[in-house]
Amino acid sequence: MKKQAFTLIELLVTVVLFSLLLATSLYSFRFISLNIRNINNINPKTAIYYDLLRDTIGSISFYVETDEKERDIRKKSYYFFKGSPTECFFISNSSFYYNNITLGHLIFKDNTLWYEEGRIFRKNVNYMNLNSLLLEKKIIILKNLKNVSFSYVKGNNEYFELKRKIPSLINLKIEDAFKTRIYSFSIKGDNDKHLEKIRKGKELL
Amino acid sequence: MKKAFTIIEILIAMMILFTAIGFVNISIKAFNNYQRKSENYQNLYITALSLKDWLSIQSFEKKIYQGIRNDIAYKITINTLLEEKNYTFTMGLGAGNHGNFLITLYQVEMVLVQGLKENKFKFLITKQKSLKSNFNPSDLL
Repeated sequence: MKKQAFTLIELLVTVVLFSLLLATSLYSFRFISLNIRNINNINPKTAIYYDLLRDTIGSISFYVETDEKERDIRKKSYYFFKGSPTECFFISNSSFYYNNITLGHLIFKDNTLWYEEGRIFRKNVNYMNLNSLLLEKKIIILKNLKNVSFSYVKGNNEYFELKRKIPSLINLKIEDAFKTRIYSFSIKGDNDKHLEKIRKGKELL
Repeated sequence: MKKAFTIIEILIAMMILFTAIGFVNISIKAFNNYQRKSENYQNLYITALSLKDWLSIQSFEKKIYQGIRNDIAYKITINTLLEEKNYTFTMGLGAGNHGNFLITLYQVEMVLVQGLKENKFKFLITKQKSLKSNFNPSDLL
């Protein structure tokens, strides 16, 4: 019996089909690789963290010294805030982890936006000297970033450094490999704060 | 005798492979779409709240604000609904007489255009302004 071989047309058809197959696979792999790169850059919890951060920053408040019975000493209340282009410290009435007054620290380092916080009113903590305060909780808000710059709006001016004054808006300019985003956080309670006569100028940190 | 594949066998095998690749492709596309949608939704959510926060410090001298933020085009229209004068007296911390304030209720219409999709939001904002000269409540902060 004569051995049957492929004809030229059969071979051509096979080659064309194979090329199509290869092209389709490569196209799919391109999608997959793009997707994997995107997944590494997007934290699915970003919106949740943004919400929590918005609550925390929105509740930035003045700092009230208390007596041994934890009653407010009204004339001893201070504004506390320390902001620079890459980090900011603040005192908030609401926080990520505790239903208590905390020192919050938002910082951009190692291509990551971190949030740290620690409770102020604890045993063995001098709440008038926050240098020794342990920031016991730490969380990654966003990672794989190129740069994050902080700016603070107070009145009609925008500042990159602010101390001992509470801004009315904090802007975070977040840059990653793909795009630049601006997140804004307003500090609520403005309507009440103008009623306070707060002593300014005390540095707690 | 060793039997070789016929062209029909090869074609059938290829068809099965094509079908399999088609399914994989569709799944990847669906996953990709789902991911893009969730990312877009997340971006829209954060941008809408960011703009709302940004609006809270505006004095509303302009009635229309337009621009682009986070790849989303926005148009914000401010309508004044109500204006009332109010005498403010408070208890507690900082208690006392704080004088007359003009309190205004605004309706804000925010249109965010993301690609071809248009998202509309409506909400209310109040602003207060002291009727004393040269007094701005935020100066005390």
